[in-house]
Amino acid sequence: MIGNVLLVVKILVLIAILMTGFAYTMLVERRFLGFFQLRLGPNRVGPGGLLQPLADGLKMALKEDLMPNGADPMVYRIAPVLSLFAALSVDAVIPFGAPIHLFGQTINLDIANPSIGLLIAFAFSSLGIYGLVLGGWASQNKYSLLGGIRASAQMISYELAMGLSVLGVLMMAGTANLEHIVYAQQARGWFIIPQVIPFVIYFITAIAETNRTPFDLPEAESELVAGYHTEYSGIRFAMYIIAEYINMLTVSGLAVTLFLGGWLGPSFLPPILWFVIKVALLVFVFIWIRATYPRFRYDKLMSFGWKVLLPISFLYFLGTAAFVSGLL
Amino acid sequence: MTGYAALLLYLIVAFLVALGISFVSELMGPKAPGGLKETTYESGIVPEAPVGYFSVRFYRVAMFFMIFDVAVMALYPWATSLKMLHQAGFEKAIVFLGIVAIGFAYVWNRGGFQWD
Repeated sequence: MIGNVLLVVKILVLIAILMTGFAYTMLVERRFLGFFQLRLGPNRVGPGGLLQPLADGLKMALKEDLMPNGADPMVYRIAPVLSLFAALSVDAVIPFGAPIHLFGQTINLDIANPSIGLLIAFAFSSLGIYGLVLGGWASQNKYSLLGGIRASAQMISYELAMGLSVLGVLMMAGTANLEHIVYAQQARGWFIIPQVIPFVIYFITAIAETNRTPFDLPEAESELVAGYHTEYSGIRFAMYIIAEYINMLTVSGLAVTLFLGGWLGPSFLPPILWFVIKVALLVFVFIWIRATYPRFRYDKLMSFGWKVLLPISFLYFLGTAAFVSGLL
Repeated sequence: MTGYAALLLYLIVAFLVALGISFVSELMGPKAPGGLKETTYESGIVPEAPVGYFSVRFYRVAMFFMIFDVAVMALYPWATSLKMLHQAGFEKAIVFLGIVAIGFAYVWNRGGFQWD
């Protein structure tokens, strides 16, 4: 009984954290982009701009909900829901901290802890592509369709390298359970040390999977207006943005869990804080890259994924396999 | 309630939250339908026939993805148990991976990954 209440509380808290986390990631990004470009960024709403996310949210919610004439109403409405749903669901299996003991109860800081946690995380993060493709198709706009199709081609091209880059961690940990992977790192050091090249490949593919600069071809504003969400307005448009930022937090969380020791860290800070700090650092790298690099050209993007990232991660994976199986 | 039941409950809640958010604009926003704002934005050109067709190159990428991603997925259970399989397990996987690699090299050689 108490377990069920706890579970419901955990679910609600996690969704609330993700929603606020997204809002403040966005604010931090806009502020940092401002500093990168020698301006201040949004700092007018509330102290230091801290209420800016609230103002943005209200503005989005109070906009007129438009649907183009030729659009498929059902698919047009459900596509952003799918996108946000997929973004939210991945976080269910990520352990945010060491189990804590409270009132005689042991509380695991994750919603579920299945033995195939990593597979579930990847399955749901891939599901997000349906929101983009269906939204682009249902808008009946040429730019939207192109954006949606580009998103899917880009995602599946980088998915392979991503899948191969984490296999090394699986082999060394001997499990796909994310919590056990963290414990394995407690025993033998963070996996980034033997797996630094897969970590870099994972991070590059993660940027591509979340459609962030320099891989933001699906919404390339200089060629496609706004890509797959050209026709969306109001809160449905915001949902795509929410999904993008939550995905950014999620892939950072997965990278921290797989390569950077999850919640592990010196004991002067609580484990959950270490997790947050590591995720924040990775998110900062996301923002830094966005401020630094121009967009890829489409053919270069595709050949980079298939001809560079995939072979490198495959070779590194073979080497790790030979090492783990005791051949070397 | 643990494991997959908890996951399912979370998924249901997440879906309901996403669905709920999507109706906010419809409920709170102004409604003034009609006019040009209901046409699609095509840089000022009057939109023509319904869109829905795209380059066959995307299908090709999807096909390669299917082939190689299934191969990668087959490696996941193998990778988690590799410590117990030792060298014999590695050698058997090499045969499988060799065949996949030949296919990959063939596609590359035929210009399958060339986007032109």
